[in-house]
Amino acid sequence: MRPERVPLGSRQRQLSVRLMTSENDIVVLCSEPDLAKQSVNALLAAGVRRSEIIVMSSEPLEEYGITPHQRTIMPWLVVCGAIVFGIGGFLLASLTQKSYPIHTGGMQVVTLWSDGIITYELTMLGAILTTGVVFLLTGVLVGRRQFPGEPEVSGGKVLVGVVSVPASARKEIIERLKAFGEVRQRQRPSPDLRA
Amino acid sequence: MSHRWGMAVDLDRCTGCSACVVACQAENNIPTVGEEAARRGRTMHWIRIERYYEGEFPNLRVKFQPVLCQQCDNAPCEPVCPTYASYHTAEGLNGQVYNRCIGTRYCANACPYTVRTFNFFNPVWDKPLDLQLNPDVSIRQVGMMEKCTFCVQRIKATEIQAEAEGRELTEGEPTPACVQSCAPKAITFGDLNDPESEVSRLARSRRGTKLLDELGTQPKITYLQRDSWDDKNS
Amino acid sequence: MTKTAEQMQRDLLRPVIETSWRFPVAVAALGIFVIAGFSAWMYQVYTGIGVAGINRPVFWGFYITNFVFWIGISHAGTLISAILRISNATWRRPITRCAEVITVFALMIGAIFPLIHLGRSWQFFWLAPYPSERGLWPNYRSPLVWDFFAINTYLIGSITFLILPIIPDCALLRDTCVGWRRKVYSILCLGWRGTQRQWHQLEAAMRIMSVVIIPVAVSVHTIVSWDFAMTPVPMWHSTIFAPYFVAGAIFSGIAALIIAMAFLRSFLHLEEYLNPQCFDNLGKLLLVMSLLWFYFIFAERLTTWYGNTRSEMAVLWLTQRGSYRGLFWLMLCCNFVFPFPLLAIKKLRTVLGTFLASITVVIGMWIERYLIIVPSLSHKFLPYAWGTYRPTWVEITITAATFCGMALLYILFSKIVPIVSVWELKAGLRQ
Repeated sequence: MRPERVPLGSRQRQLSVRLMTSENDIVVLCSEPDLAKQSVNALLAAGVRRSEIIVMSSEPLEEYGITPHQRTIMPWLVVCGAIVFGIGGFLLASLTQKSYPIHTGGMQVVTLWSDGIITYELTMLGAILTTGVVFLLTGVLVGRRQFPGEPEVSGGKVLVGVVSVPASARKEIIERLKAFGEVRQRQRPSPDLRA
Repeated sequence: MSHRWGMAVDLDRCTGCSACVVACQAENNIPTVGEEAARRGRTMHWIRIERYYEGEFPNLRVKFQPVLCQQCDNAPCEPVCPTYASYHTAEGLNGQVYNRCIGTRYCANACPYTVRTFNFFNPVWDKPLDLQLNPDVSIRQVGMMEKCTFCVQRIKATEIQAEAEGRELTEGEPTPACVQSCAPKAITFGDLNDPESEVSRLARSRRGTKLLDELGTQPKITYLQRDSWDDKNS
Repeated sequence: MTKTAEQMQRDLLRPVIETSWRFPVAVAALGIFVIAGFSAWMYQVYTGIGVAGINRPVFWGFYITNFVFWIGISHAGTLISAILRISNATWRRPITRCAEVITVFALMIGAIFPLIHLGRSWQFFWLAPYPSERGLWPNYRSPLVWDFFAINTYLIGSITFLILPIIPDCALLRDTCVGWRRKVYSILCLGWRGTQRQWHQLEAAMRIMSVVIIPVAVSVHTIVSWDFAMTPVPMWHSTIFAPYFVAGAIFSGIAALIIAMAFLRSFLHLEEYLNPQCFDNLGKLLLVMSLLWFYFIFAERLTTWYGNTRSEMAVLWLTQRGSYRGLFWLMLCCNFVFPFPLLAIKKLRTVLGTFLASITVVIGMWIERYLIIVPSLSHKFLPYAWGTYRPTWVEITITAATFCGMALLYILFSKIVPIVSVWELKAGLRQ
C-alpha cells in the first residue's frame, strides 16, 4: 500500500477523521500510450464504466484516441462572454458620453467610430477572460482533491486508473491490468457524503 | 442671445510693439521661464509676434503677425485630450480646464499653430513680481497645458455684470488684455453672432484671410492682410 | 541523435534547478541599472517633467519613442506562437515560450512609458473608466484612451496565453523538485494532474486564445499608430500608419526573439533545442519582414514626395537631406541594407548571422520610431514654431534601464519556469 498523497486541507482532515470511508483505487503505470489504450479497452471489456476510468499523462495524447473525443462547451461560453463584454463596452462608452455631454473638435457627443473601437477591444477582452476563467474552473481547479496522480507520470509514464473499485472486482481488475505495466492499489479517504 | 466670440487682426496696423504679449502675461499670470529655458525652447507666451522679412534691401518690408490660439471650431486639439481638459464651450471657445489636465501634451502636438504652452516646472515668481498676480486667473501647476483663453475671465465677468444689471453686452465689452493694450488698435474682439459688430464686419472684409485655412480647422481669428499703399478699396 | 524524452526533460529543467555563479552576478548588474532608471524617474516626478529634454514644439521625445518601440517588440509572441500554432508548424515548439515571455514583459515595460511621460504622472488613473466624483469619464474619442483599452486587453491576453501552457510544466517541476521548491510549484501548478479531460480543456483554451490574440495584437499597434495619425501634423496624418506600424512591430519583434534565443542558447546550453533550424526559419521570416518594411517606407515617402505639399516636403527633406539625415541613412542600413545579405544568403543565415542581423534591426527600428516622432514635431506648419530636441541624462538613463529591466525579467523568468516548453517538445517527439 502506498502512503496517502491526498493534499488535505486542515478542515478536510478534521472531517476525514470523523467521517471517513476509504475508497480503493487501482492504477497501472504504462510505459507507452499504446499500452494505455489497450488497458483501457481491457477495462471496458471487464465491465468497468467509462466514467470511472481516468487517464493521466505528462503530455496530450489526443491523437491516440485513448478516451473518446470529449466535447467541451468552452467555445460557446467564450462567444457568450465576448458578446456580453462587447455590449457592455458599447454601453459604457455611449451612455457615459451622453451622461456628461462635452463637445470636442466638431464631433458629435456620441461618436460611433470611437465607441466601436472600445466595443471591439472589450469584446476581445471578454473572450480572453472567459477562456481563462472557464479553463481555470473546469480544467484545473475543479476536482483537485479527488484522484491524485503519481510522480511517475512526470517521468513519462501514462497512468490508467479505475476509481473506487469494489472489493469483489479488485482481484480481477488487477489481473487484467498486470499485462500492461506496474499495478498499484491506493486507499484514498473521502468525506462521507451521507453525513 | 448666445455669443460666439471671434477676433480680427489687422496686419496693416500691427507695428510689432509686443504690448499685447506683455499685457497677456500680466493679465493671465504667465510665468517667465528664464534664459536657460527660453534657449531650450520652453517659452510660454500665449500670444507671440511672428516677424517675417519680405524682399531684399533696399525694398525690405517687415510683416508682423500676432499668433494666438485660434479657438478653432474644428479644433484638432480637442478630441485627442483623454481627460476632456481641452473642450469646446457653448460660446465657441476652446476651453482649457487646468484641473483635468494630466500633461499628455497630445493637444500641443495636434495644434497646427503650436500656440499651446506647457508648464515644464512649477512656475516661480521672484519677489516682488508675486504681488502683480491677477486674482481672477488661477495659477497652473507643473505638468499642465495652457493657452490663450480670449481672457475668458473678463468675458465671464462682463457677462455676469450685464446680467446683474439686466442688459445686453455693448460693443467693445468684453475686452481681452491684448485688445486693450494694442496702441494702433490692430486687434478687434467681439461677437461673431452679431452681424453688426465690428469684428463681424472685419471678418467679411476683402482682405480677410484665415491662418492655415487649408487644414480645415475653421479658426475664428480673421487676419486682414496688408494692401498696397495706393489701393483704396479696403 | 534523437533525444529521449527523459534526457530532454532533464536538459530543459536543468536551468531551473541548477544555478551557476553567473545568475546572481547578472541579476545584480542589471538590477543596478534598473534601480538607477527608477531613481531617475522619481527625480523627474519630484522636480518636474522639465528635467527631460522635451520642449515646445517637440513635446514627445524619447519616452514616446520607447513606448512605441516596446509595444512593437511585444508583437513577437503573437506571430510566432499564435499563427504558427494555428498553422500547425512543428518548428515552433521550442520557441513558443521564449516568444510569449518577450510579449508579456515588453508590454509591461511599454505600458510604463505613458506613465513616465505624463506631466502629472500621479493622475494616470484618470485614463481608466471609473465613476469619479466629478461624473467625468475618459474621452473615448482620444486615441490615448483607445491605447488604454487595447494595451490592457493585449496584456491580459498575452499573460493568459503565457500562463496556460506553463501549468503542466509547473506540475513537472513539482514532481521533480524537493523541499520548498516542491511546495512552491504545487501551488503554481494549481493542482494539475494531467488527466485527458484537463489536456483537452487546455488544448481547447489554447486554440481559442491563438485565434483571439491575433486580432488583438493587430489592433494594439494600429491604435498606437493612430496616436500619431489622428493629428494634422505633417507626415503623421497618413492612412499608411496603421499597417506600417504593425509590420514594423512584427519586424522588430522577430529580431528581439532571435536575440533572446541566441543568448538563451549560449548561456543555458540549450543548443540542441534552440537549434540552427529555428534560427534559419526565423531568419527567413525576418527577411520577409525586412522587405515588407522597406516596401512601406518606400510607399510612404514616394507618395509624400509626389504630392509635393510644402509642409510635408519640409519634413521629408529634413530626414533625408537635413539635420536628421545621419540617423535616416543609418536606419536604412540597419533595417534593410545590412540584414539583407545576412538573411538572404543561405550560407550566412546561421545563428551568428541572424543574431547580428537582429541586433542591427533592433537598433534600426528604435531609430525609425525616433525619426517618425521628432522630425515631424520639430518642423510643423509655422516656421516660428520650429525647434530641435536633445535628450537629457534622465531620458537616457530611463531608456537604458528599460533594456536592462527586460533582460532582468527574462533571466528571472527562465529561472522560475523552463524557458522551453517541456510538454510541447515531448508531444512533438511523438509526432
